[in-house]
Amino acid sequence: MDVRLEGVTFRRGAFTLTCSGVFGEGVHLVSGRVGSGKTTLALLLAGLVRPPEGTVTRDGISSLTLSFQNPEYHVTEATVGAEVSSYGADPAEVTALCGLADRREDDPFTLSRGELKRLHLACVFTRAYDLLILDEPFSSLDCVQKKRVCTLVNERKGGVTVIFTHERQVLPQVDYLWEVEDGQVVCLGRVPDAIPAWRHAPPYLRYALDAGVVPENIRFQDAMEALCRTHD
Amino acid sequence: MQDARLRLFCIFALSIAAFQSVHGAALVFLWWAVFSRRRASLPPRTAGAVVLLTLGITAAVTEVTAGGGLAYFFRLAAVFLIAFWAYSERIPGELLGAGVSLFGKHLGFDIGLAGEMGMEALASLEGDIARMRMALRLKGKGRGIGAVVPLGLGLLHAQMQRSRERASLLAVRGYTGGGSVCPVFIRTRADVYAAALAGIIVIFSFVPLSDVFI
Repeated sequence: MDVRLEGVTFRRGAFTLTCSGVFGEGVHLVSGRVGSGKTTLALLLAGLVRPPEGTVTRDGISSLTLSFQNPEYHVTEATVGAEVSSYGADPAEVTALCGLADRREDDPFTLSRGELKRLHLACVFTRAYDLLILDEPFSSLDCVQKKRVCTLVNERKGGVTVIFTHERQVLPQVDYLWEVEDGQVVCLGRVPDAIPAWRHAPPYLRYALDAGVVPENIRFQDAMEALCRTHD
Repeated sequence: MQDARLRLFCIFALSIAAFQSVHGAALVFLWWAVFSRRRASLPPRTAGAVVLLTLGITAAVTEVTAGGGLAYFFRLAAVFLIAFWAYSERIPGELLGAGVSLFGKHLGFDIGLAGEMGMEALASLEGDIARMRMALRLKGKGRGIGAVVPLGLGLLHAQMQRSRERASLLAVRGYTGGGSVCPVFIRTRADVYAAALAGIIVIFSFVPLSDVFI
């Protein structure tokens, strides 16, 4: 099960994005500056835009979804309950899970951005997609909800998960690191070997690396454990 | 065309000319063919098709009910062509500069700011529609009449949300009306010729053809 990009080039005006690589089973984290082309890559992986050059092959993937940064884009129904049902999920179960049980009859647009994001992500995680693409899943969420998303990501059994994020504090355990820089998508490799080469590493990881230790993974507790081990 | 003030003049003059008479619209088509980047100034195929279709239906209804539908279609098509050209030539921030330059720091700034926000809303609308259609596709609801309501509601909500955020930002930054901008305009000889011709076209559009060809 993988998504294979071969010689993919996408152009829009002066912007060009090139990519070759394989997104295999596991959790992939893609980082890059604003406007670097992360969302374009997400759309290419999901098959929502076709590359004018190169090919994107999804092998063994029978179900996929992409979660946009703005949860409002996904809203199609008039009530929170109907919105949950539109994902094929149980409204009672999902609304209880994300603390919105008393809002089931409300218009989804009356929810705050954070509440709507929470609801949308809870709906997405009710299905075991073969390919799950999350574009900025941590935006608009508080630390507690970010940690909950990390748990959901790490509890996924099998499949390809690709996370595009700027998040610098709360991150899940990942298997591969990617960077989008100067119009090029680069696979840095498997974690932990890829961590030292990660230019967008959060400050706590950078601190650990500067202290001469390479954490096992990219979470805050991984950096803490690595640093504490050094002092033992 | 680089000078926003001349471009604004061309937009007003050519829109009036195109709407005023059929021969005015014909001259506007010619102006567009000479001074625009032609295909590059047109919108994406789908947006263009939607505009043409809407215009076509309205023209057909007008033709059947009151007559003059064909002339209406021709004149409005020229107006839209100029609108597409103006949209493709826009540079963020220039309306603010043009507003202040033409109407001063108070009224001009406010008009320019409103224009900038309107243009920005149009640009964001393009992205919002594309993303919402993708989201609908992912839910298996991308096609058919059923997609129109969620798409429309989503767009309305996104624009209102953006307006609220923009208003809050302006208030936080102490905006109560008016402001200072020191714009610099670059004017080429082609810009001046294009504006002069637009002025001539608007005059010609008001002159009956029988007065020109005696």
